[in-house]
Amino acid sequence: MKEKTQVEDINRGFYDFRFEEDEKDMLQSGITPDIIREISEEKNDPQWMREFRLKSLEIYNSTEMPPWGPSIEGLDMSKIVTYIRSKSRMNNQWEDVPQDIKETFERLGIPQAEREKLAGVGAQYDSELVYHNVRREVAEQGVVYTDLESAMYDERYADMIREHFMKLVPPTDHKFAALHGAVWSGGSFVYVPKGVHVDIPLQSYFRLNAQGAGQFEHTLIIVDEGAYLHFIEGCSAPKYYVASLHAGCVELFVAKNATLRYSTIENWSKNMYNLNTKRAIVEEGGKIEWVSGSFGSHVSYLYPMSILHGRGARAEFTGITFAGEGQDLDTGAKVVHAAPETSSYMNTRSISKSGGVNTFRSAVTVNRNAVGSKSSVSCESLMLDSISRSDTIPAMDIRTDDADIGHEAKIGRISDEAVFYLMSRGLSEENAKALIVSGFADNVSKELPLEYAVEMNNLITIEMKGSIG
Amino acid sequence: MGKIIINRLPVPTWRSLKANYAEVDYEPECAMPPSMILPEGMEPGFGENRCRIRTGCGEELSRELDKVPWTKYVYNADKVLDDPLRLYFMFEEDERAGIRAEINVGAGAGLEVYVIYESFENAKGIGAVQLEINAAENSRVKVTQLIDVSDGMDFINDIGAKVGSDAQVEITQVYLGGKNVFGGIYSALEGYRSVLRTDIGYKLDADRSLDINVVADHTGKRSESEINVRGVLSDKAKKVFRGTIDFKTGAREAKGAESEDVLLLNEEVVNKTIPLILCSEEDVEGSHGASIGRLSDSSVFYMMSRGISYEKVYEIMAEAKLNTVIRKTDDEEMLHRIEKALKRR
Repeated sequence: MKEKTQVEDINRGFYDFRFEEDEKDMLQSGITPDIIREISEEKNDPQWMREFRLKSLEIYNSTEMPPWGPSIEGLDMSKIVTYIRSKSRMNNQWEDVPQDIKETFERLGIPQAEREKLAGVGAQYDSELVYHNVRREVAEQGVVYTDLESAMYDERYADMIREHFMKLVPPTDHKFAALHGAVWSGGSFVYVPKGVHVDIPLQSYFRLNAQGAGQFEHTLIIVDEGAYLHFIEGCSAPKYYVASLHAGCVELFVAKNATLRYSTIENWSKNMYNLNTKRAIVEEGGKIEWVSGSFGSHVSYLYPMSILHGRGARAEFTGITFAGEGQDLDTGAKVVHAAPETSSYMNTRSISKSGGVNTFRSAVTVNRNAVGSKSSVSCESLMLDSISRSDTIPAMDIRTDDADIGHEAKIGRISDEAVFYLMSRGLSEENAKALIVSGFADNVSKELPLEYAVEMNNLITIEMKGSIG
Repeated sequence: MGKIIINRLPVPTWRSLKANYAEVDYEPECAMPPSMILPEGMEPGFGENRCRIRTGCGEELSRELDKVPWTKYVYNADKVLDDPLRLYFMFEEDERAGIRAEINVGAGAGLEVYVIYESFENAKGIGAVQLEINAAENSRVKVTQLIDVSDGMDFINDIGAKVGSDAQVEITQVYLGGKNVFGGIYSALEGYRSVLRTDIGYKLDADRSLDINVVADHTGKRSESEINVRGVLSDKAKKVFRGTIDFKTGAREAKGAESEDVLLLNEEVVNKTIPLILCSEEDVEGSHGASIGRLSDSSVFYMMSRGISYEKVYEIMAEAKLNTVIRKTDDEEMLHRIEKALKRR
């Protein structure tokens, strides 16, 4: 008798600890103009931002829920707390961070990572950044890495932020972009000056500790001409018994001949609605590289978008999604070729098991002026049982004859032939299957810095049993 | 009169792509009975004007066709027929016509069907034909269609097929005429080892449009589907192709493959492609591949180095795209009609 290969769920025990919130730190749940005004007061918003938030709320109230994608009926916005006061000011010394928060990040290994392999770290706990620091030698190159709110008040960056904030993702984009515009809090601002190559990555880590709350951080990165940056984003939350919401927003501006690599390892708890929006605009000769690992969340809508705006701009998207029991993860990417000789490449993998639902959704649009553009999309899905689901929904909209567009998609299970081949080379069936599943995820792990690749592989605990009888 | 929604994508995607469905202004006012040449031994029957199975264009079209004041044509084959069934539809000037036909091929039987949709040269109306195919176990049905209505006329070509165990349905469609043309194919692959093969070819120019929706719904074990679409777009032509392979639970060892090859000849063409693979069964193999664009420089260079002019290279390659579809039929009359229609373009 043949037993089925068992692939364990992602081991989340590492992330499932939390400290109690003080209820007096939490604003009332729901979204009303009064709550929005209270957030503006708490954050001492400039006038333009106060008006922006209220306008976004109007847009939110008049915009319908997306009629496609996984169900978000379980998300009751009237029960979501949109803002939690921070227990402390933003710090640039770990010693100054409150003990329970510091302990949280230490258990997640953030301070150690900062010491060993990062050029700078930002740490957000619920609604606010609690720690931000950048290495002296990196700062001396003119690299700015700070929290967005501080930067908004710094006369050196205030105009830059006003010029770029929610310009790539306007509140009119969709309902949760409007929500973000109304209640955003926290997040990072990064500016890399012309020609500066930041050799080691910066990392922001987002931790949602409170249950029934939302996290709405805003990340704004500007990589100036000829510069290079690798930015890593990590997200986690402990296990809750009520729905929580993440509706962050990432806006990336990649100038002429600049390169930005944006890596994300997302492991939210399985009660999280992850409705995040990420978008990059890339100028002439520039390049955006997205590396994305989606493991957590109850429901995800996540499609990083690249607008190739300058001649010869490039985009690469490499992603893996692992959907287990109770998860409905709708992920993918969008690319708009809006200039000549632009190119894009998407390479994704998804694994579905134990009733998990994976949807790969993509859109490649080639505008009329994008002559000489090239795009290639490759997505592969692995079904590990028949109670799960895996859908592939790519779209291509091509409006010029001078384009070279390729697409391929495959769906299937672990190949018996591959298992047989490996077994004929002396591997046990268990090891053969484990090797195949690990290899399937290899497209993402090989794109990450070694330490993160190891972490990602640790995230996928693979346990095999079975025999051929 | 109002617009109806047809060719709906089984699972919607972003609305901004404007590709989740097509809209068409259609309400039939009259029937369009076909002329026909029947194989020996076949008598046409008539049935209630209702469609009993799901079709590619969908329910809203079916509801409109229910209004056609005519019966449904029914063609039954209960053995392997040597001669084909030939159906000819000729649409007149400004009519808004519709008709249904049903083809039932019994267990172990076989039938080839050739269908030609034509119109008066200056026809400006709209026509819709819905074809219901029931292929019983171990049967073979091969349908070849030529769509060659006038360039002023809109046309809807809708098919629904139910495929039994070990049965095979092959559909070949060549779209050459029409202003705004819509094609829908839905196939319920219910039987063990049931098979659907679809080959669609088109040549679109001027500001004409073609909107295609093909769905292969796999519920039968070891069922197989193959959807191939090849075509050429020039001038301001617009094409939307939605292709769905849906592996339902229980369709163990099923296989589905979609492929699309589009040659774009002008900078103002619009090509939209949405190839879906939906899967709730572990033990299946599904794949999709698409190649969209102009000819590669190396192909053009190679052919020009053999003395062929640049313009001729494209002409030859455009013909080659269509020929891979046209070659699926070996019926002389059909080949002659396709060739004649192609020459006019």
